[in-house]
Amino acid sequence: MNRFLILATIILTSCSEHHEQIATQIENATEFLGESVPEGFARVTSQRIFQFPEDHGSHEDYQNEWWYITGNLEASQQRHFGFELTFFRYGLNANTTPRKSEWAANHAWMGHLAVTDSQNNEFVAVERFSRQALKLAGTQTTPFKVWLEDWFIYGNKDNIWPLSVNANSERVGLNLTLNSKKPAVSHGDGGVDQKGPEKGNASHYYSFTRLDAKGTVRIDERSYQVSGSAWMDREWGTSSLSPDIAGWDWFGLQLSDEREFMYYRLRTNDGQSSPYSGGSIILPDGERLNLNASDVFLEPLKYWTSPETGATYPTSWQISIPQEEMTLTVNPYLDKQELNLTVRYWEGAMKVNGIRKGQSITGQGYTELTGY
Amino acid sequence: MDVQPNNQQIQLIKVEKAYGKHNVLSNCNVNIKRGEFVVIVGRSGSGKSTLLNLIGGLDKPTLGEINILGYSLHTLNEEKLSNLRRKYFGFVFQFFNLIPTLTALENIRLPMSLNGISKKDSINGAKLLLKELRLSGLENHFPDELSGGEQQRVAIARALSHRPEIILADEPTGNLDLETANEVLDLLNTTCRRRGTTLIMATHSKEVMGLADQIFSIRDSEIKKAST
Amino acid sequence: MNTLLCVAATRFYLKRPWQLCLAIFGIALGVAVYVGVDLANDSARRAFNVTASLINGSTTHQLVGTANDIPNSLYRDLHLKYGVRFAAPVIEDGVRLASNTRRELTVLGIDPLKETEFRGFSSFIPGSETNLPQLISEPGTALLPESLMSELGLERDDELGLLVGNIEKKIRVIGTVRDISLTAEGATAPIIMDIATAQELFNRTTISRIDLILNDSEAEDLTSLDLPNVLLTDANDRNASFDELARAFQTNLTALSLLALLVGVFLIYATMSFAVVQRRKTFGVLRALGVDRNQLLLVTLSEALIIGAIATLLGVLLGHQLANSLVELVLQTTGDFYFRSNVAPATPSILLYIKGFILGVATTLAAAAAPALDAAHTMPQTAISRAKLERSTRKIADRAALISVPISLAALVLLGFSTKSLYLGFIGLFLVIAASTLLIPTATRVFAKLVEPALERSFGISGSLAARGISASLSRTGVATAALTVAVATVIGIGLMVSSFRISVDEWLSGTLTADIYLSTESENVFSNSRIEELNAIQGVIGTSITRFIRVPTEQGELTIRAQRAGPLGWGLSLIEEFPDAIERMESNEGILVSEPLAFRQGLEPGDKLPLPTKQGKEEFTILGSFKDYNTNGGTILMSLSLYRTYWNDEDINGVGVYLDTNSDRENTISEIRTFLEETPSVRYRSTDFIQEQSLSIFDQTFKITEVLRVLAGLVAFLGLFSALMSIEIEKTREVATLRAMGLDPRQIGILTLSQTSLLGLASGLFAIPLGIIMAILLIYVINVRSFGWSMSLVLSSQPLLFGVLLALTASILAGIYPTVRAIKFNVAPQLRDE
Repeated sequence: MNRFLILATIILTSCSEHHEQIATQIENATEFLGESVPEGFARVTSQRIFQFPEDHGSHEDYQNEWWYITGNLEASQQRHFGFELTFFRYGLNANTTPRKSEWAANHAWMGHLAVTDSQNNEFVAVERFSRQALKLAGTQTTPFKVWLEDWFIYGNKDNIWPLSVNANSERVGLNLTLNSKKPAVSHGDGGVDQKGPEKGNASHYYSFTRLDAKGTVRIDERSYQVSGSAWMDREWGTSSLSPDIAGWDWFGLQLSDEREFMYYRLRTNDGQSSPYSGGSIILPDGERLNLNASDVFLEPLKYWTSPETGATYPTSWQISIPQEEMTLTVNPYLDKQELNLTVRYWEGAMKVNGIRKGQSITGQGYTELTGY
Repeated sequence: MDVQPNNQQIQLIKVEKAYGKHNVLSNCNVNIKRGEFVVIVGRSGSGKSTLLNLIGGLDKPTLGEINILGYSLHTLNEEKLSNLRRKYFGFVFQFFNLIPTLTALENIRLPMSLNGISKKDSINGAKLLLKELRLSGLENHFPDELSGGEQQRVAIARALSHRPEIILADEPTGNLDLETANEVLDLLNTTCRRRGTTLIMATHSKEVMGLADQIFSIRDSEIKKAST
Repeated sequence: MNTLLCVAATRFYLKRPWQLCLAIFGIALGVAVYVGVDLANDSARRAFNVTASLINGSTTHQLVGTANDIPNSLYRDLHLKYGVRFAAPVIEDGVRLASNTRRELTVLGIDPLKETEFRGFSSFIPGSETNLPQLISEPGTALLPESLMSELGLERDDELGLLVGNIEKKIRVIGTVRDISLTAEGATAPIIMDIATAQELFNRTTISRIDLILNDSEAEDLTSLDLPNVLLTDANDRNASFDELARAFQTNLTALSLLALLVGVFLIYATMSFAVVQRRKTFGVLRALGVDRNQLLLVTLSEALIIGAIATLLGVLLGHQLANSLVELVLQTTGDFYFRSNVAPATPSILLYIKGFILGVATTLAAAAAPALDAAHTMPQTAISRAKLERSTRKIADRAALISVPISLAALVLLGFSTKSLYLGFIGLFLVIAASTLLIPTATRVFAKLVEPALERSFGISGSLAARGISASLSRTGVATAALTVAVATVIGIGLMVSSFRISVDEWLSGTLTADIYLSTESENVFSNSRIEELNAIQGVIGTSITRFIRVPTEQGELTIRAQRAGPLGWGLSLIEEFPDAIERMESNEGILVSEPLAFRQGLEPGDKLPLPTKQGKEEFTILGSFKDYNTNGGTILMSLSLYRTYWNDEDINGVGVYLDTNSDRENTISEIRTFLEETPSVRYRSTDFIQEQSLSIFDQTFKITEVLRVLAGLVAFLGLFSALMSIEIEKTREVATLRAMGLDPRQIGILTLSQTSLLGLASGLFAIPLGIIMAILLIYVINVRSFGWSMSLVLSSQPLLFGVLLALTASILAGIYPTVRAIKFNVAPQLRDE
């Protein structure tokens, strides 16, 4: 998936009018990054064997980086909640000459927190920004910690697990403990996810695809004891979308047969899939099958138009993977899962029904839709 | 207001009028029948105008009762008095008192218009009157463009235009030369006779007396009926 | 309504086009002044709000340091420890252009990432070309106001030299901001830079303040933390005292515009009552013909309605035009109080136009009500005696004069009982005007009677006739004189108030500015003790006063502390209320003095305690007295420098007064001081004369709009009188004809006419003098004190008085010319023939 651009885009557009069509933003971003990627940032050009816990922390040589957690939770009486908590780091300047002011910063941070309350048909999303200075935001490796003001995730002294997740805003809050049931999985070609034909237009990308989650979700004054399953993505690089890419559709699904499915389709301006689209199937034992653009077929089933922004998103999908004899139907718990923030996109909790090799399977997960 | 014509059209019973301590009229009894020509004579300041004003409801008596067309004037409020004047009275004044900003035709039309007669009818009526009073061609003249005699003829036409029951004329010839005066009097008299309109005139003119049905003379606030 | 009645009424006015036109124009002007001021006020207010919201954004509270600094760590703690969600750091400081050291600029250091929540950063940084990552992360980058860019002929990526203190630093311009400014001092919008860049530029490790968005409970939580050396202020409170000044100023303008409208009301009253009086006979005939009262009332009110509507429409259009020129003046003046803004005046709401229109028509109708009722009550008589009419007018006038006594008493009681309310003050003022108006017709009659013998001696029968004509035609002259008197009195009253004020300010400046030269700086640590000793050592310098100015946030809004060590000529204070030996006691650190506006607004008296935020927490200071202060900074506290240093731990100085030896070579001393100052270019040199001159020119600027309104009120008055007198004289045609027939020659007639109108003018002018003085007294001792807390003494300068009388006389003589010429030229015979 290609969440790289979001932060680049926000930094660029926070000075222009808000909530413009994301297409324009992408265009700006593409122009900016495509033509003048800041001097001095490292680019992803070769394979990488991830080292932990070091790689959980920041890679400040690269311009963009994020920690991305989504999940589906259940309170008593099978009441469903979805959540998203994201930390984006954006390198402002590769020049690291020390400055005198404590406020001096070379990195900006953006955080998104979203909670879906399916039963009450409610979706709340908030954002926040900070510079990486005065310990207002940043990362540390031991013990592992990423924070943006008082939103944070932190691990144990030696290990990232169990991971505490803590983020509160006026209307919603999260307080979860996550434990991974599978080891980290490297996507793409040896941990390199190529985004386009250009050299260095790529990222390092690994995921924890099945995390046990326990804790509380707060909506307004009420807190709910919850448990469920989450997913964490880690990605960094110095990259941009090719000019012909309009946006992307990303799926991260946890299936009832203990497999996970991840796929991102890079959508070209004429609505076609880019050949640089790709994904993974993670087997119950943690092994990974690589998926290429030609392996996966996506078919929108239903569209939803946001009353707030007027944008139309394909919220229900059919996904076919012929080599796996698998067909999945993915439906949102709620249509209304658009994050109408400085950067506008749709990211929502999904339920899955399907058939694999004649056996019916179910599942849940998250879908991200941008560029609509 | 609907008035039944009766024999005694105008009745003044024991009417007294004083301004402050000054008695203008005392114990004044007058009866006037419908269609009569009544002349009131007396010196300047003897109370002729006051008598006319009392009859016309323009002024109120200090004592006594005035009945006009079966109505007791003191029972009528300001609005009903206005109504009465508008419908049943025509006034001719010594100083003509035409409305300066209205033309001759419009001045004549004014009472008809006030009585709700349509514009078309009032124009026709006024034109007839203009012809009758030999004022043809002066329709669109403003009062200050007319001679005294012409102004008074317009005033008479105005007084007659809405076919009132009673015409009150206060020295209508007082401001006119002899010849014009006679002409105006003749017109007034013949028109009223022809229409059966009661005409009450305060005047100095001796000639008029010969034509009158009744003559009242006022002296020292006493009113006396003189033989015709 | 009867059409012929309408035709008659219409032709009545059409036959007197000048009467109609003057009436319409007079009302239109009155309405125009009101609407113009209203629109200008509204427009200025909106422009202000737009600016304020751009500068303060959605800020509800601010954390301010007791000595203008807040540690960086407090900002972090707010987010990480105290759970504050919306906070934005700000550094606000002054610099000078290296290329023009006299040019001061404000630098605003911010965190652009935090601005979206506060100021809608996007709305004052145009376009999307600004490279925000560069602004944040690259040292020495800044955004410049568009106007400054073009003024200095700079382009993107150019360098600009700034003087911080006396050190030159370069910044690189990487974008522009719109021209919005936030300080009273800064005529130019601020230079925007990242907070880190600003800290590096000013070589500081702290920030100026933290803007916050808090709800009530968050604000309470934060207050209860009792953070050391900082103060949580409510953004609204902080502006409250300034707002109050601006509002008082606008209220004053509105009241003045209402006065203009009032003169307009007189005009319509005069016009309508004159139109009724002229047609009294016609109305009598109509009544005889059976037209009832309601019909006549309807006709006359319709006339007023139509005239009023046309005139008001015209007035609203004129007002719209007027507002365009007034708004600049209003913005300028409120700017002196609060802020200066290059924001274009906002478009006023359409509702204001509608309001102006309704007000104009309603006042016209109200003013016409009395004449219309008068018309309706015309007795149905055919020969109205003019003498009778005048007799009854005289009776009414006398009765009105009697009523004026209880009205004036009511005004006095009102003004005596409420000592603070500005609105009640204005009501009192208007009551006094009303009372005087009622007195004027009778006064006019008495005046005419008194001058008759003198006139007769001078001009013979013409003179005597002129004087008698005035009292004999009171029904016509009374209202006209009253209208003119009120208008002229207004002109005199405002004139006296402004000139008294100016003289008070001038005297105050002379008394306060005891030194010969004032040096000031906005930079820190410029005046060290040794520097001041050096200064004192210069040949011809006999001493210095040293002062520390700081702004402190208090519960009563932001106040200025002036901590001073007096120079050889003392403090130069004029005390208003004080303990005995107040100055000596202040010098021995027993307490403080407060400025008069502060004392008035807060109701502070000697002996009261005033809490102030010091470096040692909140401390109470005893008030020893109050002193005269015409500054518009919301309130000043004066204390000895040693007291300040004890509580604020601040040894810095930012103002020095230099006293020169009158016997030594002044030129030489000054040039030595200039040389001495070359080392510290951030120090501003101002001579006392220069300050005095500057202050008075600011004063004149501030009262320019008052002058404009005064002239407009005078114009309305002039038109009113002109039309009234013309009507009166033209109505007298017949009388003139009779006099001519009786053998008066044209010259005599001319004297008669002209002396009559001048007499009325003179009467108005003379009556306007006491009324004008009363108005000035009320404006000075009631309105100004209640608006601004400034006391001053009435100075009866002759210029405003003479101006008023001259205005009245000129208007009346001019108004007399046309009728006079007409009277001399006209043909006697046709006028005699009949009416």
